[in-house]
Amino acid sequence: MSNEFAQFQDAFFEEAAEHLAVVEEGLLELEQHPEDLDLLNKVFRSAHSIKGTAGMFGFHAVAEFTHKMETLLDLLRNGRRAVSPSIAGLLLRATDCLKALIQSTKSGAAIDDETVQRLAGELASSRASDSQASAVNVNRKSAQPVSDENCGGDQTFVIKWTPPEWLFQRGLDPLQTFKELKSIGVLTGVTLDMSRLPGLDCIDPETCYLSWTMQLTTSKDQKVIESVFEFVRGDSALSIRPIEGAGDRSQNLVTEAGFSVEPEDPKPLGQILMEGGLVSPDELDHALGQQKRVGEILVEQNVVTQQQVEQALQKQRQQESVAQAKKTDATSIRVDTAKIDKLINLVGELMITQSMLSDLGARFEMRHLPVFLERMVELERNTREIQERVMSIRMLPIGTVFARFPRLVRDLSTKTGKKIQLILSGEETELDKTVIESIGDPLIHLVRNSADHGLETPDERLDNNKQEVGTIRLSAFHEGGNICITVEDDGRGLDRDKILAKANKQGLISENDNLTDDQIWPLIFKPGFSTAETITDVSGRGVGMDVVKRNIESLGGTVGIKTTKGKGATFILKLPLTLAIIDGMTVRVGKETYIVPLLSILESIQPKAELTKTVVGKGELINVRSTYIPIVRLYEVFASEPQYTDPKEAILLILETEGERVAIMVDEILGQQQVVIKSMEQNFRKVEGIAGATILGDGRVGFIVDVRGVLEIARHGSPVAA
Amino acid sequence: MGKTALIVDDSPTMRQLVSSTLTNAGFTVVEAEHGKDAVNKVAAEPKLDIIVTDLNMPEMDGITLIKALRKLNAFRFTPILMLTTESAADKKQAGKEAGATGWIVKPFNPDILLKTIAKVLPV
Repeated sequence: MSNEFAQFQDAFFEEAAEHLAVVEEGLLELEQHPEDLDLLNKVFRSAHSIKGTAGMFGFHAVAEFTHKMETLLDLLRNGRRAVSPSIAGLLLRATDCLKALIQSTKSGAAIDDETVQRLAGELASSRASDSQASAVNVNRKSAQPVSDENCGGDQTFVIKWTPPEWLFQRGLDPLQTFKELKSIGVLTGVTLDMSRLPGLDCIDPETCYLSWTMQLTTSKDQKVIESVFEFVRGDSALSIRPIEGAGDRSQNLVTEAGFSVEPEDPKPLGQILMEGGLVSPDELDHALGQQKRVGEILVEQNVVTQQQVEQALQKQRQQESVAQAKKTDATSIRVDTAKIDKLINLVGELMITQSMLSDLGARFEMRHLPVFLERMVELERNTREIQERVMSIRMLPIGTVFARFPRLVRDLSTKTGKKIQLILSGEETELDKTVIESIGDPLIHLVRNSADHGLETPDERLDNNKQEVGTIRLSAFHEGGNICITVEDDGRGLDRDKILAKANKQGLISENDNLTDDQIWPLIFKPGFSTAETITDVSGRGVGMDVVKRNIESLGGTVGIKTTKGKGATFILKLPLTLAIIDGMTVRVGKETYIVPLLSILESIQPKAELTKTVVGKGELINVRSTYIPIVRLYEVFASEPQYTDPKEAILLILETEGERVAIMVDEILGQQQVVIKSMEQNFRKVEGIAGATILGDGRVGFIVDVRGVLEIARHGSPVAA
Repeated sequence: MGKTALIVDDSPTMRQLVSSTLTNAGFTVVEAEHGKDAVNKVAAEPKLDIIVTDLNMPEMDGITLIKALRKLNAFRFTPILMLTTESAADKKQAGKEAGATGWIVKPFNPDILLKTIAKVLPV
C-alpha cells in the first residue's frame, strides 16, 4: 500500500462514486440502445478509471474486480460480444457488487466474499472463449521485480546498442541512456560507430545514425540494465552480455514484458523467516498457533467467560466499522471552479467598497452623507451576493440523487410485473449538500410507493383505457426560497373510501367525522398506516409514509398530496434550500426576541376572551374555528418578563408540525427575516423548546423556537428554564 | 529544477496524485482533463519539459493527443510518457507509433514515476 498517496483517498472515493453512477446509468441506457458505442466507451472509461486509481491506493480487491468488468466491457466495445439483456444485467449486478466492495474498502465493513467470487466467476465465464482477454492481475508481482537487485559482487557486461533511426522523433535521447547507465555502474570503453553516417549533403539532422559498444561494470543484475533500455529495446538492436563467469546469459532482447511494481507492506516476521528458509511453513503455523490472544488468556484465568469475549469482539468489530465509516465520511465537496472565481471577484468588490468606506470615514463631513448612504447600499449588495455565493458552494444538483432512480424503477418493474417508464426533470436544480444527502431515502420510498400502490398492472390499465405503460415522473424546481420535488404517477390515485375505512379501524377518526379530502389524504402519513392489501416485497412493510413525512419535516420541509381517483397521485415535497438559514418570523416577548420558523406558522390571531378556556389536565386551550389548540405562553417556558399576560391583549401564533398544532403566545410580531442558525449544543447546551440561536441585526442573540419541542412542552407542562 | 510538466488524465484523483508528486519534486504542473483540453493548454503554455498522459479519455484519447502534439513544432522532441494499465502490447505499440517516448504502468508509486521521468527528461 503506498502511503504516500493516502491523503488523496477521499478524493478517490468521491471520484469512484461518480464513475459508478456513470457506469450504472450507462448500462441502463445500453439496455435500451445496445448499439451505442459512445455509451459503451463512456462506461468502459469509467470502469477503467476506477481500476487505475484503485490500484494506485493499493485497493487490490476493487482493482481486480473492476478489471474483470473492464475485460468484459472491452469485448463488448470491440464488438466481439453483443450487449444482450443478460450481459447488461450481469454487469449491473457486478456494479452493485463493486459499489459494496468500494464501500467496504472505505468503511472497513465486512463484505460478502461469496457474492464477489461468484460474480467474478460469472464475469470471467461470460467472456467469449475465443477472446484473448488476458487476465492480468493488477497487483501481480512482476516475475522479476525491477528493484536494485544485487547479484553479489561486480560484474562487467558488454553492451552493444544500435538505436532506431527515429529515436529523436519520440523525444528520446541517447544521452539520457548513458546518464542512466552511469548511475548504476562504471561505464568504460565506450566506442562510437559512425559507419552509417551519410555525407553532409544528405544528412538528416533529426535521424539517429549512430551506434555504440561499451562496457559496464556494475553490482546490479542484468534485468536492471535491461530496464535502462526499456523504452527503446523493442526497436533497437541490443545485446547485453556478461563477460565473466556467468554462464551463457547472453540474449538478444527483442521482446517486451510489461511489468507492474507493487509497493510492499513490511512483511510479518514469520514470513521473512520462512522466506529465508529458516523455518518451514508447518513450523511457522505451529508457532503461530502457540500465540495466545488476550481474550483467551483472560478466559483461562477465569476473569471472563468465553461468551463475554465473543460479545466484546463483536462490539470491537462494530466499533471499528463505525469508526471507519465516520472517519471516511466524506466531508469534502467538489466545487465548480467557476463558482470559486465568481466568489473571488465578489470578495474583490467587497474590498473596494470597504476601502471607499474607510476613506470616507477618515475625512467625513456631513455633506458626504448621501455618498456614505450610497456606499452602504453597495456594501449591503456585496454582502448579500457573497452570502448567496458561499451558500451555493455547498449546493449540488439534485441530479446526483435522481441518478439512482432509473435503476430502482427498472428493478421495481421486473419485481412487480408492471410496465413503468420514469421521466426525470429539473436534475440541474441545486440544493444544499446536507439536504441532498438526507432526501434520497424519502424519495426512494415515494417512488416505491408509486410503483407498488399507485400504478396498475398492464392488464388493469388497458381495461381502464390507459396506456399499458405507467409513468412515474420525478421533477425538481425552485419555488421562492424553497425547492419543490414532486413524485407523480398516473396510476389509481388514492382511494378515499379505503383510507377512511382503515382510519376508522385504527381509531384515527370516528364514523361521523366529516372530513374534506385535504384532511383525508394526510391520514396515510400516520404511523402503521398502509392500505396495501397484501404486504409486498416492495413496500408496505410496516414502515411507511410516516417515516417519509418525519424525514422531510426534520429537514424543515413539508409533504403535500394531490390526487384524482383513477388518474394518479402527486406527492409534493417542499424543502428549504439550505439547513444553515431559515426564513423566520421575529417576535417579541418582553425584552427578548425569538424567531419562529416561517414554514410552521399557519396564522396569527388576537383571540376574543371567550375563545380561550382552561381544561383540567389539558391546560389552556384556544378555540380556532371549533378546533381546540393548546396554548403555550412563551414567557412561562423561557422564564422572561412579558408585556402582556392576558391572551386577548397578546398575539397567538398558530404553529403546525407533523400534523399537530400548538398556539404560542407572544407580545408582538416584529417582522420577517432570514436568519443564520447557530447551534445551541455546540456553543452552550441543549435547551428544551429552542432549536438554535442567531445573531440579530443589533448584535443581540435571538433564540429560534423549536416547534416540536414547544408541542412537547404543551403536552407535558413546561420545564421552566433556569 | 524549474521544469514544467503537463499531466493529462480524466481522473481528478490520478491528476492529483501525479501533480502532487511532481510538485514536490520541484516541477511546475499544468493539468488537463483530456486530449482536447491538453491541446488548448499547450497553446497557452508553449514551454513544457515533459508531458504525462493517460490513454483512455473522453473528447480526445491519449494516442490522438500524442499524434497531435508531435505535429506541433514546439513538441516534436518533448518527452511524452503514457500511463497505461494494460500491459497489452497493442496499446503500448500504438502509443509508440504515435510518438510516445515511454510509458508508466499503473499502479505506480511516486518513486517509480520520478524515476521514469528522470529516464527521459534531459537535466
